[in-house]
Amino acid sequence: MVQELGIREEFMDPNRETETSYDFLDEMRHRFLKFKRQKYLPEIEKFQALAIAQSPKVMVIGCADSRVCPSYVLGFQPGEAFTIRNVANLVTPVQNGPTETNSALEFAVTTLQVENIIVMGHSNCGGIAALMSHQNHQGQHSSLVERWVMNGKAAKLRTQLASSHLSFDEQCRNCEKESIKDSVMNLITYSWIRDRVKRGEVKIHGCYYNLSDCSLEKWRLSSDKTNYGFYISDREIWS
Amino acid sequence: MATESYEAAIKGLNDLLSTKADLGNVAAAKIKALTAELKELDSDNSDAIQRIKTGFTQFKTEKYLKNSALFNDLAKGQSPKFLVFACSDSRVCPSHILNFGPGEAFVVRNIANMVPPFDQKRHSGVGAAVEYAVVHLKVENILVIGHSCCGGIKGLMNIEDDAAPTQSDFIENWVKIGASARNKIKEEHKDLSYDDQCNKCEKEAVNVSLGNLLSYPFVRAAVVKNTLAIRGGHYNFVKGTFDLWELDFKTTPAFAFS
Repeated sequence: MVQELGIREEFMDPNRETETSYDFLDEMRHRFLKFKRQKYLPEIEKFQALAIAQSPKVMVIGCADSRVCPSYVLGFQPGEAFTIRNVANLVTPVQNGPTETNSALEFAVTTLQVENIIVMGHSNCGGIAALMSHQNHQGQHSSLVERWVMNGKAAKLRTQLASSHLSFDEQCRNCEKESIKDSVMNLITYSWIRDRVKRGEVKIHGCYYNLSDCSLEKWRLSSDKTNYGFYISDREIWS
Repeated sequence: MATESYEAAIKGLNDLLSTKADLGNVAAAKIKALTAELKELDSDNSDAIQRIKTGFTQFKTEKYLKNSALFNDLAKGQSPKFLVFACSDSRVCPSHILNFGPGEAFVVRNIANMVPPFDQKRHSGVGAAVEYAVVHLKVENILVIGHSCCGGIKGLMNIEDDAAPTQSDFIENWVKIGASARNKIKEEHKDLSYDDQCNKCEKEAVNVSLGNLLSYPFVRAAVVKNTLAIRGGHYNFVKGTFDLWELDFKTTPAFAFS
């Protein structure tokens, strides 16, 4: 079933049936060569060094949304940020068992030894909107999206308690922010993260990108040395 | 108290430089480096936060403010044509290597760019992404991109047959999705070096993910209707190349036995 087409010339054959394949190939070739011309070749030494090993200092957990690529919005260059992207930038707690997200967390923290973890959420998140509009809580989730976003249930409940008088959109904005907090708190359910944060080896940050007004709100989860708890600090809004 | 020892240290340095003036440049360079190092230790001013502040400001001034029509539209909604699976590796962001701009690609990034088979109970993260992209956003293309020197694939290749799980509970559990790729490479390419085997496994694991995509009913339906194409890719950053291939899937007219 899998047909490996290694030779570009095969696609150039005018008799080939699927013309869409040829256009697509052209577009992808154009995209890659632009990267190669504008970034890869001008910085070839850097890329050769990176080819030997990556040592990013940052890990980002972002949303899969096409408008919020962390590299694009936060300016990360190749080699700088180990990036996880899933629907609604959710981090599930350790007690929920293995997921794609916590396997990447494990690799980044224990093997790559990143020094910073950033959970980046954003406005107008479709995943959070699905969470907020999901009616049936009896466990009969009809869709995969609903099943996944229900990991943000606690954020939804807090949002509804605090802001049920607001419009649906405004509630979604609040839920997006509450969900980032939950994901950040879920990070420290992993002992190998919590220990490193306490020792000052890893810093955890939350950030919220509002794509209507291009502003970024960021804060840090600091470790309280007196009572072994955590608190939010260094809150800033960049706009 | 810190100031006292600092003052004493500076006095010591000045005394030295007054007798050996030619060391002035050396001292200046080292002091600059020390200042930068101390800046990094300051929690409010951490390197990473400075980095993203600069990055975000550059994004806003060079991209956002110069394309307000595009970004105003994007604020209302997204309609990307691509769903892309790429590895979380810091060197392989699809926005860089395939020049995807805002709004163009719904991107999932995980270890070794894996797509697990359709499962209503497990792996709901990837399932949600595929469902959202195919059913809600109605993307036209799915692209699964592997890459050279993939740590996840190395991990997969290193798993012993029938061994008990090691300390890395989550990683091994995840990369095992590509187990059939590993088995195939170990069987068919016994003669190749470890590095060459890993390289082949990187591509074969993409094929496993492409096959797994077809286990999602809504993906299969869209592929059969010809509204969705799924393809595999491999980015080699050692050589600076990109391979692209297709998954050929069709049903022939039925032969009736009677």
